[in-house]
Amino acid sequence: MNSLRPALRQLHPYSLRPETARVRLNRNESPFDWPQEWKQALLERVQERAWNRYPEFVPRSLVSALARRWNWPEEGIAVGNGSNELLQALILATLEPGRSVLTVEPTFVLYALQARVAGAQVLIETLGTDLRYDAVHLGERLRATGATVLFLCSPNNPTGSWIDPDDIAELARRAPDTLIVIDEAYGEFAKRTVLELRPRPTNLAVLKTFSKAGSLAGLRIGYLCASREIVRAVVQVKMPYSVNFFSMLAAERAIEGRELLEQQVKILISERERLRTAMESMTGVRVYPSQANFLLFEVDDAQRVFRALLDNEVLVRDVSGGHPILSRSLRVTIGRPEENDLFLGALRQTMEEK
Amino acid sequence: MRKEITRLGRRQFLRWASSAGAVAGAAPFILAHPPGSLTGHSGTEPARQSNHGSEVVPATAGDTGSGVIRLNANENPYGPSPAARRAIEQAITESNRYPIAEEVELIGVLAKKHDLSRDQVLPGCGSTELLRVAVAALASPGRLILAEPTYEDPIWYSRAFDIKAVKVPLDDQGAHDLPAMERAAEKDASLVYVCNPNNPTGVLADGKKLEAFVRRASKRATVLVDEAYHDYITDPRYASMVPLVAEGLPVVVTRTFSKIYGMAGLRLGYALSDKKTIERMAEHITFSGANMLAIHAGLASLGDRAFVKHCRKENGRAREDLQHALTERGYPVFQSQTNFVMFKLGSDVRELIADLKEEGIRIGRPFPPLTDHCRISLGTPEQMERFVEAFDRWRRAAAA
Repeated sequence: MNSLRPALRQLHPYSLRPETARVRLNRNESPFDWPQEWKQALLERVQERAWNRYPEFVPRSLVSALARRWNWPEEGIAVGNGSNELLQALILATLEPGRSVLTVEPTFVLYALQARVAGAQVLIETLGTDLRYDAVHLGERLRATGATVLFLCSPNNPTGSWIDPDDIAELARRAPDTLIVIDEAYGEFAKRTVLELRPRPTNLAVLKTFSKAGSLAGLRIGYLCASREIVRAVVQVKMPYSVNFFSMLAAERAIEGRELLEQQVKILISERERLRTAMESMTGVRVYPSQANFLLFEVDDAQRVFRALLDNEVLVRDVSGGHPILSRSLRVTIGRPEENDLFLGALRQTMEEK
Repeated sequence: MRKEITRLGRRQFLRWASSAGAVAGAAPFILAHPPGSLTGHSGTEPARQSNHGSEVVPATAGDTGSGVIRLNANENPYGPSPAARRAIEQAITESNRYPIAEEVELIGVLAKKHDLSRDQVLPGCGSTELLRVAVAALASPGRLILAEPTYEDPIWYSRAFDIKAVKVPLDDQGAHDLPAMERAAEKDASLVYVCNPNNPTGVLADGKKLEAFVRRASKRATVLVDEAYHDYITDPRYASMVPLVAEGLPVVVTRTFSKIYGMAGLRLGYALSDKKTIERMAEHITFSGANMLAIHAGLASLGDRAFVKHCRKENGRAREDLQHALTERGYPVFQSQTNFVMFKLGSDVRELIADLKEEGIRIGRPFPPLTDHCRISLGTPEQMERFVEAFDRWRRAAAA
């Protein structure tokens, strides 16, 4: 296969192991499925639509609903087939061989992977042992490297740490030639969103998704909030018609049903804090603070604990192989209270067995 | 607690040499000619596909649950609220103390919630204890008037205290037959018990009719209204009888933390009545019947309105879905306003109970005389789905 680019041979594809269990707390999904009546109403709307026609080129009503939701200009919003598609479009619009991107480790692996696919140089900052973002240090590195793009996942997967929106504003102000991309896939679980910043930094691009707090991971729909100029460039390189009308209608329904979704988020946040308190009291467990719908925790032998939890029908994510700093770490997604109880019980038992 | 964020001070930022001033409108990070640009569909090659397509998705497994699905005891599948769980964890260290100050606090909070005075509130070990002390203190001499079938605690206690009970059959809608109960109460009635909505049928008494009934009946006897399912009710025709307590009528209203607050295992309930009636009931109550953990959890639960709202919504949905599924299959269903649904199975329910038990699903016991009816407590959507599937299998097997 000589036609394949040599650079691709060195890349490891993004994939997940196929373990399964009764209690699945491994993929940062919302544990709350959509209410049946929402699904029903959505199906009715879908049935009213002509299926032989392309979806709208620009999903006007969804974009204007998002604009109202976040008080963001409509021309600064693009919708994609999951925020990952928009991430890829941002990369296509900004990176080429000779340009560089700055990001951190550990974080969501797609930023570095896609940037390398685009031929850009990837510069990595490793988070400190407390796994927090150091905004001052990032700012200094941006200046020293002249990176074209800074990718930050905030709240960060898999650490749960975040960077304060005010610090992002300051970074954006100090590095006007760098595009600051903030992946807020878990933003709804944090104290604040960077979308609240005023004035809106013109070199800021914010990726959002309906997969997490919107309970729509299965429908693949995300969006980008940025300046008009950035959005125009993204639309240029993005696949047309990438979002099907079913998902668009679902996203609109999710915005209409914000109240319920926000209640669910509240439950998950309070569950997260409950789990963290309970885990803090366990001997041999170190749990990190989180602004997301998951918790990262350290144990002596991550693989043993992962297997023992799995034996108890609880599946978490083993992230210990992802980065040396995570060599003792597991990640648990916050589930429904009863799922969390099963996890806590299984973890407590596992730690006592040792 | 550790500080979570590395916040930047302005001064720290000043350490950075300022980059060239921002150029308004220019975005130097955007490529002039991005690869695979699809503008006007004239791109030379399609944009590269994400590697995400290689994700291996685990097969969908069954959802949560510890095996047995309990749809038999009208418990809240979601409870207790996260706030209550935290409160319990914190209260454990205090459980070497008698919960005296805590009970005073709870009484204060409940009095305020219901706009009554403190001496009109009596907490206990579940509303069951309040039903027991009501029967013990108020039903003798005289007769206890109640529906059949209804919640059975009062009748058990009436037997224990050797009190005569008069049972008035429900009407054919599964509702209290208030005119018949009023006639029964005309002679020697001491205590009239109304469970609203009624357990096991789930049916609500019309608010206006019930209020008129309670006003008249309370002239002859104390009226005990059990509002255990209060927070699940969505029908606007419902009326709580607490306002009649506020008026000073001889009416006792009981409430519980076992249902929407999801604390059935913690045992906490309370009664509201006029000062004199509360005093009479208190003579029979267990000292500190409400325990430390329950009180703390109860107080926290009262503050977590989002959880109550969530449970009410989930329950309402499960109720609608189940009523719909049963109606669709041709079973007459009582119009429930609670966290359970009763329907007419048309055959001895004991067979269904036994067969579903084999599948790990517990459903309501027989409620004589409605032994061809079946009562299903509402669970999570997954649990309800499993019930309906199991029920369908059972029906096919029964028909074969």
